[in-house]
Amino acid sequence: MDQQKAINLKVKRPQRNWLDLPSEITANILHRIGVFDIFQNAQKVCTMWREICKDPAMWRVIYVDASFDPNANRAFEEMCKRAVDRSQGQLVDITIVRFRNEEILEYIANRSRQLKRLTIACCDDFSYRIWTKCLVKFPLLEELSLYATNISAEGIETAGRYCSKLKTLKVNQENYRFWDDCIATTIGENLHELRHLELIGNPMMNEGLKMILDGCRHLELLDLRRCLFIRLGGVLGKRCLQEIKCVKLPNDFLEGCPFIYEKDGFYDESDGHYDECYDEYYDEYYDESEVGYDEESEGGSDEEFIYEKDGFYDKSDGYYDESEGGSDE
Amino acid sequence: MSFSKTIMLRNYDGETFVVDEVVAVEPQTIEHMIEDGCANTSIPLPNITSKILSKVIEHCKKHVETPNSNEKDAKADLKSFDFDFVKADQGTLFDLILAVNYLNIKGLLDLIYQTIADMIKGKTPEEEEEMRRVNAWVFSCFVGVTCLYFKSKKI
Repeated sequence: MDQQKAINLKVKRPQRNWLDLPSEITANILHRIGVFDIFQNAQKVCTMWREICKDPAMWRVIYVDASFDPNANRAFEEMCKRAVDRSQGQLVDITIVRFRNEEILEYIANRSRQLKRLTIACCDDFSYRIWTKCLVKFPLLEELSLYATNISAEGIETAGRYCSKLKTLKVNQENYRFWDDCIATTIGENLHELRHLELIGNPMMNEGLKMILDGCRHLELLDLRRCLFIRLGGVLGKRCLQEIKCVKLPNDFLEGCPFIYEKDGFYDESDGHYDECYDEYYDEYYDESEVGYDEESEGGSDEEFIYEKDGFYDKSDGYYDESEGGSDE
Repeated sequence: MSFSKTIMLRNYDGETFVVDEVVAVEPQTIEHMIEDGCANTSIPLPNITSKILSKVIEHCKKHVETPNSNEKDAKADLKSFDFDFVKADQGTLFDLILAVNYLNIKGLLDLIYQTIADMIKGKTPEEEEEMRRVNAWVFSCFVGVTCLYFKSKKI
């Protein structure tokens, strides 16, 4: 009975077989289901899909997020290595999220000289040395995007020396507690060809920002959101707006910053604003008199740029008052 | 009063569709044909049925007519339109893929590819195979045997 029905169906309907899709279309679709699903499922469906999943062209762009299962970090590491192997040296774009073992970066570096885009997010267990060790192996790198990592100034310097094609640099992080010009200064001194620079949450002061403006003369975009220790009133602010096409200011909405500002207790995705309590926290504990000013500031109106409140910052230990609270964890 | 130039598209079923040029050039294939001077009478699209072509034109029209702004309302409206657009049976999606691939409409192609990917994602190999089978009116025995082979090898 069922057989008869099946025959009738075959007779009546036009012939369509998903295997008839051109392989590049199937490859495009399968690529979107993600590395995990490809290894676990798609490549086991049939010979054709398996061949497509083994084609190096499928592995030119890789995205692996180990936060899917924090207890399976090792398994994700192995998966990522297999994905890199399948690229057979043709890897051009890789994103790794929440990996604990820095060995993965070294694995990628030893096999991917053609890499153009590297994104690393929430990998703050990596040692300082790994950055210098690995960045030397990416001579064709054009974009380096780091979110909540612990890259050192030396790592930035290495990127400047060995990644001569680097045009986009993002070193975005959650806010620091005290100022530090190291990264900003190193960028200004070493990365003169940058067009796109994001330093969300960077602890630089005005001196660091000046180094960037002086050293990176080709900047088209500069993202200074949540840079809490700069004051943009006066000449420095004017320079930013005059010399750079697009500047995002410390108080601007935090839309478009993945990995770090989407999940904490303060960030309200619906309007791109931090909760009120964040500003209160800042207002209460930020003491202007303790932080470096732009010497040339004429004391012009800063209201459009940054907070101007009093509060207390304990210089002796470099920490804000312990009772800051405010986190909605 | 402004005149917008119109383009005639003639398809597989012999039916003719008249569309504004600004809509007709959404598909890059057609844009190139017009640039190469092939559009004096009508543009032939022999491998696309009426049903599929009218769907494609509907999508192009909507995207051309919606102002390209960052307004939340406009974006939400488009998103809702796209969401409903891909609520088609798999046979229609299959035909759409081939047509849109030929016409080279990047935005629509991405939408359909992502829709299919979302249908596949998270399914086991058996479920994926079943999904293919239900919609493959001609089912290859060879494929079935190969799947069994891979399952037994646990690859």
